[in-house]
Amino acid sequence: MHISFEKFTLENGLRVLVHQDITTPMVAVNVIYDVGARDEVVTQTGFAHLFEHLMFGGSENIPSYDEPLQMAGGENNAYTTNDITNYYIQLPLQNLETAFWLESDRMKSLDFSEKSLEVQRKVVCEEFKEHYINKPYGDAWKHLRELAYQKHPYQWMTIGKELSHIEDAQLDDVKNFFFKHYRPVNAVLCVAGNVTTAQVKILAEKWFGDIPSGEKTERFLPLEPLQTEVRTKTVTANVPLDAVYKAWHIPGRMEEGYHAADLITEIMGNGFASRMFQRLVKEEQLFSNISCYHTGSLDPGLLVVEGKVVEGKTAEAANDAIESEMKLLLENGVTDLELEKAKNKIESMIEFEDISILNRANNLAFYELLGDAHQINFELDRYQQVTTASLLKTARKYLRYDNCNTLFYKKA
Amino acid sequence: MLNRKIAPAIHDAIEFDFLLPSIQKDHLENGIPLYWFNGGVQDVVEINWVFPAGLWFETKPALAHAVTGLLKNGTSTKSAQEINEALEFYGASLQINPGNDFATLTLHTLTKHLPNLLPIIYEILTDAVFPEEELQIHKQNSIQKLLVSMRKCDFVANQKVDALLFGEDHPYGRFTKQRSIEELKREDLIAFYKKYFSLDNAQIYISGKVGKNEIDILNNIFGKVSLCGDKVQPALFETITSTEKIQHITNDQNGVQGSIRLGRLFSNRHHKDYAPMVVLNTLFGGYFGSRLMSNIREEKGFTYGIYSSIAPYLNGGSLTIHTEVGKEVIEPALKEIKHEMHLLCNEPVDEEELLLVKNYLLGNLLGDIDGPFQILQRWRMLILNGLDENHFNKNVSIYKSISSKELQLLAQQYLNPDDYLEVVVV
Repeated sequence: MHISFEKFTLENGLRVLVHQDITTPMVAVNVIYDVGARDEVVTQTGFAHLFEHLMFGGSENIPSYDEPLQMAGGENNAYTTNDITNYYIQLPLQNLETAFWLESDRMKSLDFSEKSLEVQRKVVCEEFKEHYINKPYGDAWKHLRELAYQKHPYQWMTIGKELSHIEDAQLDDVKNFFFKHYRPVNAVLCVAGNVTTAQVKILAEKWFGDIPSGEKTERFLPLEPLQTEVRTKTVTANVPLDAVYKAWHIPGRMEEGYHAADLITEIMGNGFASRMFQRLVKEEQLFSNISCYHTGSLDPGLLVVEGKVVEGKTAEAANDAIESEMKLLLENGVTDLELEKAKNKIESMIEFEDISILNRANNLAFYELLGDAHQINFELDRYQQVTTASLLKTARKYLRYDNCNTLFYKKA
Repeated sequence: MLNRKIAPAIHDAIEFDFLLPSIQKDHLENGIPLYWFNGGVQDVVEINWVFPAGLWFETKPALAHAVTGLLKNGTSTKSAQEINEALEFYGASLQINPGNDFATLTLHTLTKHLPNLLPIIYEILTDAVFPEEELQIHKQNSIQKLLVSMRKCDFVANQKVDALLFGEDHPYGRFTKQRSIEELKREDLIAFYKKYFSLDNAQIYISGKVGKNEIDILNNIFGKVSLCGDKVQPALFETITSTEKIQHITNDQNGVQGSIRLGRLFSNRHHKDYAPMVVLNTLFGGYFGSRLMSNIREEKGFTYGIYSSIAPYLNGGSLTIHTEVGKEVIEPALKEIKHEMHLLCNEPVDEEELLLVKNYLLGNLLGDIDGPFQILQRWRMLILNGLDENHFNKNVSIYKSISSKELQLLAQQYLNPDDYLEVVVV
């Protein structure tokens, strides 16, 4: 379905999108910042994410972010990826201005409280433990990223390389980070709901208009060199089953081949009817589960196959079976029916995602950050344009044997 | 000059009107109850087929999971692969979940594909054969999944607290063991399927872009077969709460966090205290601004998150506090949780905080009943619990009007730490 919107830009460079939906009593307000874990330095990783936590610790004029929003019947959250940081609110339309007040004050200036930093360092350390240390295979992605990326900052996870980076974060670092990245010129605001552009314009100018523009982020990130040799790493840990993770470098979000790579993940390993689930889980029973997905990142990302190996089978045999499936793909490509199925899945996924105004607001802001929010309405076409021939070309270019990183995660 | 210290005026959500839109209550030709709601702009539908086939009806442990897990893995004319291919080709998703009381099939699809998908669902529901080989693969992979889960302290703690609260033989307290999976037999699956997934016991809910045409298709496929009228009679179980109140377990010698669960029994949705407790629970540990989160995360930094939640089932329920905290702060965290319980018992909540909780709860409710899927989901919950829109309206008025005095009395009744079981798993 076509998603309509209007756009204007404030004098300070803040881009504002308005998406009207007259059917809902709620309004979504989304602020996306052009900063993610890829903008960190190797000695201070996890900072973009830690910073996201600090954005809730009070701003210059508002001691608590959450309380006024809850009083206004609103709910909010945020997330950080390797590329961006996104903040979103949903609240009853009547209280829209509360969202403008809160978001603008923390864009204007945070409170930079020592207490908030001290507490959030601890909270993030517990988050680190809960998700990446205290659970089986929790550090697999740490190893996989380090294996696959030798130069590019995608070599660390958004949570950070190690706990100490978070524990050592200082208030001065926080201030510098804020004034460098959290500026209007590096942000996109999107409002979705029963609103008009005129209304939003008045509110945006009133609340965001006086915030100093800041400097547009220029990136000089190291390019990941073309991989020409297979890389393999074996990790041993206290886990109940062996597991195999394999990652190939694929094009970035805006590059040729991205959509074909996405469709390949559908055909190879997403769903019970996918190739690898059918052959490796059901027929050969080498894996108890298998999945295929990609990181969807702005710079060149990874296409990943991961699975747990059935007790009694070896990780090497399981890995060989994945290699064979990839070889088959590179030799024969996919059938028309397989491609049609993958496209049907994408079409359905997009349609369901668009039901929620929060998703629509988030996606519009994201595409605008990439350069042009209109692209949201061409996404399905990009998938439809992929042919079995162009898919095969993409597969042969990127899913080469020597472009692969294999992590064997074995039980001790 | 803009004064940023002054908040824009707000409209209190307690002043809003809440109207749960009415739905169509119908029957297919053969009498299967059909509930539907047309709304939204996307050409999508959600359909639920609900059966009394949850854990409550199991004759052997792990049976409901096995039956739902294998329901679409073969009929007399189609293999698992053919069924999955047929569903996935149209970009549809079919989830089959065994709950404590009901088992639910949920289909999400673009409306235009319904005519191609419904015959497959019908086939699954009337002609599943549970091939022996599929069962063997299910057993192998379920056991492996269980082995991984058993290494997680949160998984073990969740199992343990329910088992202590309800008793291991009670459907709400039962948990899956490797041996139960190993002992599953094909004939048990078939017997369970035939008895509980019979269309005699089905209810159908459909929402999204639906009109007469879609209802006709549904009726043609599900409404023509004659039913025999046999309704399932639920069994009765006795709840046996453990007398051993505290259990600290070491599951992983190298664990760096402990999973804390404090739990007590609570009622189902019919109890007079249920709606008032929704307000008290929200304030105590039900949202990000709660007492527990403010103290244990935002003040002390002991955890990434802490919540309390009410789990209402058909025949009872529980109230549980759950969090994962650093191993070295388990005792201080337990102390703070109990401190927050005492505080609510001993001191009335101030009016500002109470208004905030009410506005938050009601503002969210407005979002929760926005959109066709959400509206019918809300109705489905009411209908399956034997309730109607009066219950919804009554609850809304309680959320709006409850006083701090009432909340304190409730806290004294339901937030007394002495009534709670304590489970800690490292």
